[in-house]
Amino acid sequence: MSDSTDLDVSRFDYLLPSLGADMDEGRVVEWRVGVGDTVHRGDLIAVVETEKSDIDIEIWHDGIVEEFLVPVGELIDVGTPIVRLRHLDADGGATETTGAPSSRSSQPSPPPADPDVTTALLEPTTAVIPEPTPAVDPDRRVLASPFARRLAAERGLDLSTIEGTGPHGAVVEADIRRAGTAAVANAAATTAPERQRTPASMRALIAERMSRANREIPHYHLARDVDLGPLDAWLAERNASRPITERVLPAACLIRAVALAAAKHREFNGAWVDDHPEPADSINVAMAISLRRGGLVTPHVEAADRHSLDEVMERLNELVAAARSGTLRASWMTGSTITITHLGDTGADLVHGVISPPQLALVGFGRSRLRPWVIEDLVTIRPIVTATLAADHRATDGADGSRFLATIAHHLEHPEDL
Amino acid sequence: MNTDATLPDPADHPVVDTVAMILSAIADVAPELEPELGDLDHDIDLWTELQLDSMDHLAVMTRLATQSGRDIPERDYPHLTTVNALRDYLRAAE
Repeated sequence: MSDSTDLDVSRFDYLLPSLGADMDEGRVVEWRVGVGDTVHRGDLIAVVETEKSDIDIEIWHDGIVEEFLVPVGELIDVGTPIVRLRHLDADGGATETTGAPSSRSSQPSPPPADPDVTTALLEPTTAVIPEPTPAVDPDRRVLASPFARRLAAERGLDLSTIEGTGPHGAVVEADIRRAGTAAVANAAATTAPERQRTPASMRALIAERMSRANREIPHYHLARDVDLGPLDAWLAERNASRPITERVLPAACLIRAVALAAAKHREFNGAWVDDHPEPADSINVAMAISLRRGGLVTPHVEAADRHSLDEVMERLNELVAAARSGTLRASWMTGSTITITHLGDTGADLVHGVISPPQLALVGFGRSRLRPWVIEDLVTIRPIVTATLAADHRATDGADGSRFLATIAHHLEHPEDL
Repeated sequence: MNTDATLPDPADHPVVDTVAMILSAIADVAPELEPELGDLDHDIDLWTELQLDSMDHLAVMTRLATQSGRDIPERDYPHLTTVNALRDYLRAAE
């Protein structure tokens, strides 16, 4: 870095932000601005590829882009300066000597990553993952009758380019005919190239992340069967009296149970930093959500121990919808303190999870299945789910983990307290 | 079916519209499945076929309930596994 920069108060560097607790490197895959462009607080300036997804990052200060400091595609650490900008003055023009924090100019040799500036720059709270691009995605939200759909397919027409006149704006047969051959040329012209992470690149990033987990974290694994009968019965009764928009799924109950257990066993909630565990104050429970086109994302429910079951369910709905449509916010990906992976009813019986670094634990739930179950001296048939814990042996031992799993089981078996 | 493309029966339209509503609810929830929906067998278990999980299921049902203006109790879920079953169910409510 040039030494003139450190003392030059008219310029500032934007550092690669961390877009998740487990992110410590990334790469700029696309600049959204050019040298000489004036940018304002909140503008999207670049697309950053993280291990799990591409995220648009926004600038947190006004400025004029002067120089890109890293090449596109190069893997860089979080905190690396990626672009240099010049401050704007009040008139919107460039400032030569004013408008910068005075503290910096008074220091003989301020560190390149001044904490104040860094903190300010590291808060891109509304970045979104841009795929698929909502405005131009050709496959989204096209309402059409099956017949129109078939007709369009036969004629090679893109439904998204045809204006529908049917109910709810659905494309119907007449629209297809009206569109005629004109739409063919139109479709080709308006189908914007969609920038999508290739499955191979997402795999490579997951491979990198999970390799690090297995290389650095001495995992231990525990399992415990939990009777979901009480939860199923309680949920069925609760949901029966509620409209569909207020119903709660077992997944939300799992988040609550883990959050409440983590509040009691704080040594499983947080991060391994340098050579010691750092328990976190907030319990931000990340949920692994698989994407049908491959890979997964792990947005979190913030402070899940302090929100009601209904609030957790509401947030979960939001997260899943955002994950599916590619509109996750960076703030949902940042600061997770523990992760849940839930295989769902079509999944395997149990999962031996891999911790998402630098977290301390991952709780897994297999599918719920009917199993013989002994209550006192009777064998009954109950819906059983196997809860598993993958935990960092540097931070905790098997006895701690057993107690943590027991608390999770207790909460699931007493759903009225969720 | 061997539908005559030039002369669709107007009486079919309510049926078609309900089906379109169902397919569009699925496409809303799972945009990447949209290209497959045209070929979806309407008598096959769509949740399994399309690998929709419980969150997707709830999201689709919520859309259908909202658009059709009728609540869909959980106890009816087990019957509502195909496009045609959903269509009949929603039409019966009209």
